[in-house]
Amino acid sequence: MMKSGKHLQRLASVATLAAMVTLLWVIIALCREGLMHWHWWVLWRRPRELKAGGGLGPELINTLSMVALAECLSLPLGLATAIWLGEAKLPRRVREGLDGFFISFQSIPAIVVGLVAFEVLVGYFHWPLSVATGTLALTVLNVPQVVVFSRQAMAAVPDAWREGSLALGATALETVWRMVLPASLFALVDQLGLSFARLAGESALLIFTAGLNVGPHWGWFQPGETLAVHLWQVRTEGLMPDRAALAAETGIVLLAITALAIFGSKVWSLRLKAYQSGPGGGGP
Amino acid sequence: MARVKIQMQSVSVWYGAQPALRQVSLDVAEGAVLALIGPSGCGKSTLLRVINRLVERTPEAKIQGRIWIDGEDILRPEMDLVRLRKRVGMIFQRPISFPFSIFDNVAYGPRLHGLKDAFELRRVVELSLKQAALWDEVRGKLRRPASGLSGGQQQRLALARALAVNPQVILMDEPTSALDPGSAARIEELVVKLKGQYTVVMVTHNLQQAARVSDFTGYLQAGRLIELGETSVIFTAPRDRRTEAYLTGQID
Amino acid sequence: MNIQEASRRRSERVWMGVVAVASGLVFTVLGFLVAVLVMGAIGFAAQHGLVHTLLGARWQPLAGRLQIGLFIVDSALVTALAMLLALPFGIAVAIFGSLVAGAWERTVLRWILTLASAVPSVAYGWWGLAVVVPGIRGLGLGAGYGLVSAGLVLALMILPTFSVLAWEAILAVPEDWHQTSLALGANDDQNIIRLVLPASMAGLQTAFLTALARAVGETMAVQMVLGGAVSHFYGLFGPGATLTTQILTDMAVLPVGSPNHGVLDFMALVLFLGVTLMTGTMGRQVRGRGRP
Ligand SMILES: Nc1ncnc2c1ncn2[C@@H]1O[C@H](COP(=O)(O)OP(=O)(O)OP(=O)(O)O)[C@@H](O)[C@H]1O
Ligand SMILES: [Mg+2]
Repeated sequence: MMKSGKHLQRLASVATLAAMVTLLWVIIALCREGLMHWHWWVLWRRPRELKAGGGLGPELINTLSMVALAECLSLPLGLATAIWLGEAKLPRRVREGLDGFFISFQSIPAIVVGLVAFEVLVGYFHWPLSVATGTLALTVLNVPQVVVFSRQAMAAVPDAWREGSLALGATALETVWRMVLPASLFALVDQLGLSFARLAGESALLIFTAGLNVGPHWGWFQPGETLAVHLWQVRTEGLMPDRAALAAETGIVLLAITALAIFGSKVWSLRLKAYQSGPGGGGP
Repeated sequence: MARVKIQMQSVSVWYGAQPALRQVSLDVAEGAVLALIGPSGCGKSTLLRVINRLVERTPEAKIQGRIWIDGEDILRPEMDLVRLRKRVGMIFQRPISFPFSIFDNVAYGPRLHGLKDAFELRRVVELSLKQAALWDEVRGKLRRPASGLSGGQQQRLALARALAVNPQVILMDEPTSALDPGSAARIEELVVKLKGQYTVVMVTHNLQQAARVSDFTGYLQAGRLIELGETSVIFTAPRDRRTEAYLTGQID
Repeated sequence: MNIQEASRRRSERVWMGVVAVASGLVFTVLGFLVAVLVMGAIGFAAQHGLVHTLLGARWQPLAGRLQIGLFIVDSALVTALAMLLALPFGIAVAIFGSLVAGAWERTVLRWILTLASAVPSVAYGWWGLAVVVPGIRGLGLGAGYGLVSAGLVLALMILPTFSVLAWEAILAVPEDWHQTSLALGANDDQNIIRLVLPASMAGLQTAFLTALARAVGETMAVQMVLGGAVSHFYGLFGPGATLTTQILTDMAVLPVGSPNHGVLDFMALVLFLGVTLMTGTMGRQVRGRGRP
């Protein structure tokens, strides 16, 4: 016992193996089921409610467009808030309080945001369950995440660099714009992929904001069912005869989007980082 | 001549393909202080870390040769590392305190080795803190976090922590280079006090310090032990040109 | 020169204004969100009574019986089950990843965890329906839809997030500390138990609370395998309903403007407060940790 003293490490290795096998099981089971029945035409055909042979073209377009729009809205807002939190002359306690506010908002259950978006946009302003409603709800869900990860990325830039820039006569915002943001860009890009993936997989929030069906064409106030919502609906209350296969196919497309977003942002982020740390540096 | 405590015979260490120590042989007498000097990157730290086999934490490190402590071959594969490291304490360049209380820092080692009795533990902690000349400054504050101590105090705490496991050999890797002159002087005093009771191998970049505290001095360059002898001899009449060049500041 | 200076100062002010307005918008929207919840919840509680609503277990929304005690209990049970399972495995993954794995294993592990943490919750729900529910039914433990199934699916879903955060926490223990501990004669087990885990405790707690908050707030993965029983408690293997799943279910039953819609705000506020409580303690812990 004393002599080797590696029992915990062995136990951890076995437990890790078990955990990874189970996680991969989820991914592989979904891929297997979907690939067994894979048809390329699901990517562009329209869904059918009662008959087999429906696709998920509109859902695919809705997912990509809504998530991209939500990112376009929440990134500038979140970044600006993070910059303001870092640069405005606030007492330390206030700044910490506001950071805490965003940290608790970061783990707000999506269904809570969905409920309020539903009450305000649909209930009060009488917007339909639509692309626009869903996009706004996604934006509200995403902004606190952006604020928190931007704050963290910018805080990771060494203070000495900031002081160096200020000592050269740069103003606070010039320092942020020319030094802090470029220096933390790789971290922001890395998080962007995760954030895109998370929004693309979101469903609880969208059921009552974007709706459970699609319109005849894409439009702001057309119903905006996404892939994740479609997967849920088909798997739990679908009526089409090929619902099992369709759910898995939807899952594959969703997984592919997720993996591409993460992989793409990772590669981009690593290249930025390698460029920053110069030859010989880099790596994750 | 006192008994030989540590004996090294043609010890070589590589990090991957890069040699860090080449064929180093030396003896350290029991109770003596050996200072190791030499230019940066010459292998001083590696020499220390091979004595408690901490080099093996670097996965690509390779060791060759033999080392005996009290006649026991410590490089043999079946050597019990825990027993070895209990006998050989180590102090690092940066003062390292664990994020625990002062008491828990010093009690860390004894607890590892099975000391549970609260009374006995207190006795060991107090004794070690006294040996490290820290007791007067921390008595009554043993439950405070160790991170609240100054750098010099933390280094003495590290010494107390090492002494608490009752080692016979103490390795020190530039123990004062991160400290202010006053704190450095106190550590030096301690080393002089420990002399005789413990065998000390100390790496330093401060030549005056080596001259002040050590009985023997070894000069390393590019992984080779160029010269080793009584400190007074090395500093006044080195036999090797390279040692002389280093001592007069022509190499660094 | 002076003109240039002046224009620089002006543009600094303008941009600071832009940034301030944008953050003002963000604060307003988020503040408004909380206000809507609180007002709806207060309106409801004033009518139906706070204690009565929280502690009662009868739910017949159309008959006006709106007590959410059962959902709170089910939420707590499902979450506790998930955390109990995820905790040991997550710590194990973190220890393996940061202390045991070689470079190659570490990279593979990291990729699996990153991907798995972004797998949509409906995909975990799909797996629950395809594997867990039939499995539990096969063991003769009821219909398969129930609290245990939900706990299992949820545990798997939060495992990647928790592992990665715990991994980071353990990685934050400096190499010097490991070496000091080993030089004092610690073996690897002792090093983990006496140094690594205590030294990274603050980070591990943050990881735990973040995962806990996610688990409490998860809707879809739970909804798909939970069975949705609201009338009474059917045991751990029996069906149930959590705060999140019931909000989802009853958004259609109690539309905006209907007299009892406020109960949904009330449930959402309970959720939000619960999560804030968790992350609030977390904030204090992060700030309280004294790392030199
Ligand atoms: N973990 C390691 N991996 C690879 N090479 C290493 C490692 N540690 C040390 N080296 C190399 O081995 C050689 C000797 O290093 P060592 O740390 O023993 O030198 P040193 O004399 O203590 O230097 P310094 O005075 O700067 O502390 C150096 O060239 C160093 O680059
Ligand atoms: Mg060194």
